Amino acid sequence: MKSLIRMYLYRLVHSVLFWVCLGLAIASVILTVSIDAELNVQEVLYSGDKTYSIAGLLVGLENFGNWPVIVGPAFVSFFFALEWKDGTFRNQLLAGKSRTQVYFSAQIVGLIISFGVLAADLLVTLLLGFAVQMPFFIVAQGQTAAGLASSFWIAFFLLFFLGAFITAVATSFAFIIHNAWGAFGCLIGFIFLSSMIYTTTLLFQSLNYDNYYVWNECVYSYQLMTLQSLNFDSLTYGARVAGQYLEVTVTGRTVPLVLKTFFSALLIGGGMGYLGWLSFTKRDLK
Amino acid sequence: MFGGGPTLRVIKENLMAGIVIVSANGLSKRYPRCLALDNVTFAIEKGEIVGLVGKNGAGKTTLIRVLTGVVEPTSGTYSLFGISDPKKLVPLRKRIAAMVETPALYENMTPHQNMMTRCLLMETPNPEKSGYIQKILDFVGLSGSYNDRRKIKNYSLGMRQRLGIAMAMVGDPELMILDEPTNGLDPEGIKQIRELLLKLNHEKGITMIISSHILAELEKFATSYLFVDHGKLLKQISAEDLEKQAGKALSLKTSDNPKALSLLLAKGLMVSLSGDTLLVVNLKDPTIALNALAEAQISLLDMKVSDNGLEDFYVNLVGGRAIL
Repeated sequence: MKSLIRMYLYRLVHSVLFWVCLGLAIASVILTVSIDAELNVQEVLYSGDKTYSIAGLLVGLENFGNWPVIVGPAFVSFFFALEWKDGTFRNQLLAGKSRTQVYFSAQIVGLIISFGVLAADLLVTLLLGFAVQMPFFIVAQGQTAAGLASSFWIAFFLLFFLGAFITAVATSFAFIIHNAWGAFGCLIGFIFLSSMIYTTTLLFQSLNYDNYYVWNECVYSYQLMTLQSLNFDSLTYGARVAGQYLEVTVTGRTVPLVLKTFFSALLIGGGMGYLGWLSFTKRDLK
Repeated sequence: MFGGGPTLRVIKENLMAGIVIVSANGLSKRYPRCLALDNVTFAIEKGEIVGLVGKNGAGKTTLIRVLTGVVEPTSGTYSLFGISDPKKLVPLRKRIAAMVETPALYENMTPHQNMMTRCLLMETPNPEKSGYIQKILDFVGLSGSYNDRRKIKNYSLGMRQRLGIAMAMVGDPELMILDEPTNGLDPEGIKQIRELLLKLNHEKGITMIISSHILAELEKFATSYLFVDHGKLLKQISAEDLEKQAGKALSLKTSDNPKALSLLLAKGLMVSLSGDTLLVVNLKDPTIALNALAEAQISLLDMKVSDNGLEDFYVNLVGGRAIL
């Protein structure tokens, strides 16, 4: 497997498409941080409450959005599916590698790519965020708050976990669909569908919280939205009580959300990973 | 069906002696709409250059795909280097190089980068520093490609075929399986590839299985043949035996061609009429045809005797149904 991983990484660094994707991801982060930083600093300075932590300030930039988490897996689906177009999986089998070795090497390299893109994005966010905000923060005599900092690290961990989950799905599509654009399209379809589940439930505001809103916590689009704002302790939902529309906030959602993120990602990511492995090992290659 | 090839007992003895590099026993591959391989049994010995002959859809590529592990057989077994356990076959494939239909190359990479991917897969130590890549590229006549920054998608078919062979050579394989290696090449290119394959066989002792439509070309270097039709192995024969069995061909112009045609057909000979010339093939003894014509008082206007070629032999084998 070591030689397969080294070969894929060699291919990666010589892929123009990879550098273009990474460049676009970083550029989008720079753009968002530059715009959001000023608003965020203003918010802190004029809020009257100067107990925001540095981590809180950075999370307030809301850059842990869909784009950095999705751009890596989107590239991954394309990167591996191109092996079908060039017929190069054959070379790997003829180098004495089993199909299982090829598949799991691809999954590992997929994670490396995805984490790399995500880490580069976070690094740019942090460095740029510090550079832009620190002077204002010092002037405003902001103080650190442990609570927000700990939430930041949970969010950080969950973000990488979600990245791993979507990457596993992306790599699996690349091995199930024997076409680069097809695999890419399936991944986008998967992301769109799960976003639609979240959005659709919001339309039914009279729905009972226990029946519907808790399910949103299992959908990765909800999890991403929550991670962006670091507000995963409370859940606000709309409900119609006695003909009157009310917004209800439930607190203490951190543990359920963390668990649901963890298990739904394991279940869906693992399931898709298994399907990808099954498809690659049982079907004839072209 | 095993044709004129070795018996199962001989295969087993040769397997034990390590002489047999590839063998198949009752190998079949069924696709949803067709039986691509039907109970194929053969054995290939070390150092042979085997010509895999058959028309389009005969099962040549399927056989190559099965041997290279790209597809799994529906039934039957095969062995590589004497090993037939499917799990043990996986690492053995490192000793095989194959080009199935078209060379498997990364279109968006340069020739050097493609060679590097192969070297990394084969775990070749220091392929650049040791000059290993350059040596192989020199061997296949692509010396200039080492520093060429053009991507494969901009390469001609001939250059891709050469690079495909160069990639196949990484790791010093003991067996090369090439599907139509001269496909799309000009006559000069075909000659160069043939010389290259002969050089590999002679200098490195590599056993080869080569499928080709160009039988006249195959005839120049194959040491034995596997004839395939409708998924079945019709015959396995050495080049030497083929020459003996193929016999002679007669090209005749007579005073009464239609009468001569019916007469020779009645004698059970393989005859066809093309324009004003009668072509009699697969003749063990040409005097049989000539005596029959003399007895019927049909005079000969012109006559040429030649050896039957591989193509005639194949056409006879499939009963005149072959369109190559």
